[in-house]
Formats: sequence, C-alpha cells, structure tokens
Amino acid sequence: MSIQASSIPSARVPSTPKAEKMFNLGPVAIGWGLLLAIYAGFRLYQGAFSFEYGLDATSPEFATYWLTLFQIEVPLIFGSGLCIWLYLWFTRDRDMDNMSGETELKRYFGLLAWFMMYTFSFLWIASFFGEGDATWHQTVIRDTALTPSHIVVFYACVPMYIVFGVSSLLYATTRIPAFARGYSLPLIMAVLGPGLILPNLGFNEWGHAFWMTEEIFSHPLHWGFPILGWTGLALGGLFIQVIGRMAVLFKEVGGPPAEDADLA
Amino acid sequence: MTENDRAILKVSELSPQAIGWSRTLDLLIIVVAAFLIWSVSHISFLLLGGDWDFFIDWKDRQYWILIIPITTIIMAASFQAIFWNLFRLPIGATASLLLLLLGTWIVRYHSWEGLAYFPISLVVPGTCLMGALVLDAILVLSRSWLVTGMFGATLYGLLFYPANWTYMAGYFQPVMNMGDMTSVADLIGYVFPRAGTPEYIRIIERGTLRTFGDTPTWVSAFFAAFVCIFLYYLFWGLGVLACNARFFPVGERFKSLYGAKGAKDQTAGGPVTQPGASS
Repeated sequence: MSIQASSIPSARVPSTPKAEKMFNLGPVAIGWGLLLAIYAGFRLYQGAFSFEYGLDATSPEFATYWLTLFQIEVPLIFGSGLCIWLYLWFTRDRDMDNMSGETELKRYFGLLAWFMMYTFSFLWIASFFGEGDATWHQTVIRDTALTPSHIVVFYACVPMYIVFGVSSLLYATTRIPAFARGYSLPLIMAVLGPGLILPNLGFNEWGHAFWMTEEIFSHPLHWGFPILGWTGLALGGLFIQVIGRMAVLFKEVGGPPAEDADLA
Repeated sequence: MTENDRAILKVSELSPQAIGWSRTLDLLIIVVAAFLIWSVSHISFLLLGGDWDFFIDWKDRQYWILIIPITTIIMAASFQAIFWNLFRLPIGATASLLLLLLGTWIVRYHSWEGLAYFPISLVVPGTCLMGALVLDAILVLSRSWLVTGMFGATLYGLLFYPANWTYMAGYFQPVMNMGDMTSVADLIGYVFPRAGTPEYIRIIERGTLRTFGDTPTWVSAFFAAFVCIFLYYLFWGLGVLACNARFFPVGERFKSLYGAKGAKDQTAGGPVTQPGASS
C-alpha cells in the first residue's frame, strides 16, 4: 500500500516570512560560538599550563603564564561589558509610550535572546568550571587566591555572566515598556543574586586564608555560592511576566485567528 | 498535526503567523529553562554535598546515602514547583536530576580525568534519576504537592541506594591489601590520595557503621527519606516564591529617564498596532 506525500498531515505549524523575522537566531548562535571558543580555549590553556607553571604562585613562570592572563582578562571582560552597557543605555528608547505592538514583541524576543546568552554563560561557572575547581583543590590545594583554576572560574567566567546578566537587565528596562514602568522583582533577583557571587568571593578567600578548608569542597564556607545561585530560580517569575505579555501581543499583532483550513 | 493539536490551536485564537511566533517562544523558553535548571541544580549539589559524589571511596554506607538525596531533592522540588505552577508539567524533578547527571559526567570526564588524571573508576557519579521519576510520577498522579512530599520524597530517599547498587556493588567487594581487608573502592582511593583524604579518614572511617553495606545502609536510607520530606516542602515553597511576577512601582523620574513617562499602567505596553505600522 502506498501513501501519497500530499496525504501525510504536516507536523509543522504554518509559518510566514514575518514569523522568521520576529526572532533572529543568528546573533545568539554567533555569541554562543564565541563563548564556546573562549571556554574551550580556557580549558585547553589549563590543560597545557596548570600543572606545568601553576603550582607555585611565587615563581616567575606563574607570573608569565597565569598572572598575565589574569591581568588581561579582567579589564578586557569588564571593559567589553562597560561598552555594551553604555551602548544599551545611550541607544535606549526615549518614547516607549508610542511603541508599536510589533516592536514590543520583537523586543521581548530580544530579551529572551539576552537570557539565552546569560544562562549559557552561567552554566559554565555553575557546572563545568565550578566542579573543575574541585579537581584543582583536591589535587594541589592552594597557595594564594589566584590559582590557575580561580583565574578562569572566578575572574573570567563570573565577570562574563555578570556582563550578560546586567545587559539583560538594561535591555529590558531601556526597551520594554513594562520593565521601564516598574522594577521587576524576578528580573532583579535573577541578575543581582548570581552577580553577588563575585563579591562573595571576598568572604570565600578571606575564610580560606585563615581556615584550612581545602579538604571538603562542600564546606559551609562555600554555601554562599549555592544560596546565591538559587536566586536564578526567579526566572520562573520572569517567565510569567514575559509570556503573559507576549500572549497578549500574539493576538493583537498577529491578526485574526486561524481558520480550519490554516490548521490543516 | 493531530486533531488534538488543531483543537488546541483553535481555542488559542491565534493567527497562523502568531502560532509560529508562539512555537518559537516555546523553543526559547525550553533552551533558557534547560540551561537554568542545569546550572542551578549543579552548583547547588556541588557545594552542598559534592564531595560524597566525587569519589568512589566516599560513597559510603552512612553519609553518602544520606547527603546525596537531601542535597539533590531541594532543587528537584523547586523546579517541580515552578514547572507545575507555571505550565502544569510534571517534569521538574526529572529535568533537574537528568541535567545534573549530564553535567557531572561531562566534568568527571573532562576535568577529573582529563585535567587531573584521576581514573574514571574513582570519580564515577551516582544517579538520583529513579527517585526523580517516581517524584514526578506521584505528582502527576496525585496532583498534590502535599501527597508528593509525603510519599514521593520518602521514596526518593529510599530509592537512592538501590538505584545505585547495580554499578556500585563491584566496588564494595572485600579485598586484601597489605594484610588488611578493605573494599575495592577504598583500594582505588589509597592509590590516589587527595586533599580530602584526611577528612575521609576522620569523617567516614569511624563510628559503628564500619561494614561493607548490609543493614546500616537501610538505616541511612530511612533517615534520608525522613529528611527529604521536610526539605521537599521547604524547597517547593521556594519554587512557588520564585514564580512571583511582581513589579514594584517606580517614581515619575525613573519613568521619564527610561522613556515611559506617559504610562498608564504597570504591565501593558504602548498602543498595539498591526505589523508594519511602526518600528
């Protein structure tokens, strides 16, 4: 028995060129690709030089291979972040009251694109380099706060996701009416909470300087990190805010409801 | 497209164009949510109980069976609350534990073995997937967080050890080492001393539960189940709290600065027009 191709029901929802324009995956894909290259580069650099030149913070080789990396990455990441933040601020929409629904809908998709970058960059510290830090501490302990592991996880990966988190916050407040008319509690929580992991490093390193806590990675000294990480759960509330408004815009911008013929 | 899909789309009152946008939104939410679940589940587990999962010799009959379930159920419960409250999807616990398992395997292979050269047999992770599936199944059957906490969390704590027994059994076999009896897991650990080795001796190799398994494991499993019930409720509450979609009011100066001076309400955007009217 043969089946004609035209008789097979389509699993795809009818789409139009307009639908493809509403969200552009290109910039996100390029951003992910760049980040992936940076993180893979860090991992390869660690593999090549951690045990070779990273065991003694007082050695000249450590200064060459690791302090140099530290001195380059911190200003570079925060400098890039500052440029992005200034761009978002100075190009803000100064007349949101007269924004079209289509523009607003596009910007909600834009906000989700920023969050795709933010959560992707957070993943690398919370999972890959976060647990990777344990491999270093269980192997060689530490001599200063600047270990080959910390120089990557704390001073590159953390600033990186802070850049994307603050950018998401700025994008929302400078371009989307609802976020310009009120402080979004979940948005602030989801950006500020994980961002506080950076200042929490002060407590972490202070504690490590006085207490020998290398033996247990899940030591109470480290509990500030997961607690601040939990604030990421606030994205649940942000989903309500975003999806709720987008659902209204879908109906108002999208035109009349689909007929039976459209859904066939 | 099934008849059911068509019926749902008809009820949604969306245009074909908007249906496409809606599907795009679905995909974006899935991606963002997956990264979020993966990240938060891993950092939470890693820094609250990670040591007991890092190494095969730390997978003991007293603390491992207790600490791993109670440190993993917290995010499972929170994500279950978020997915159930927002989308009525009973997948939060399974998603949390599945992505955690994926994350730990990647790190064990690329960092523990790849960077520090520990053998994978020393750093193989445990799994909480069976308990997570049961937790989600009980939620969808009972549709009640109260019932899920009472029965699901109990089973989550109890099932952890038997779920891991299959691959762990070989490591618990007794062997002779330099005239003393030890387990295969301990023997592997002796070859690779770590910073945590003194703590291993201080914390784990003490007490009256020094056996190769047997009845002490069930003592630990029941205690884990007991603690899991309370933590489930506590962190379900955190998940519910995280779904708070509140906007706090801002002053006129803030609105003016952000170009929203003439706003009439807190949530709606500007006047909605058809595509192409303005951009």
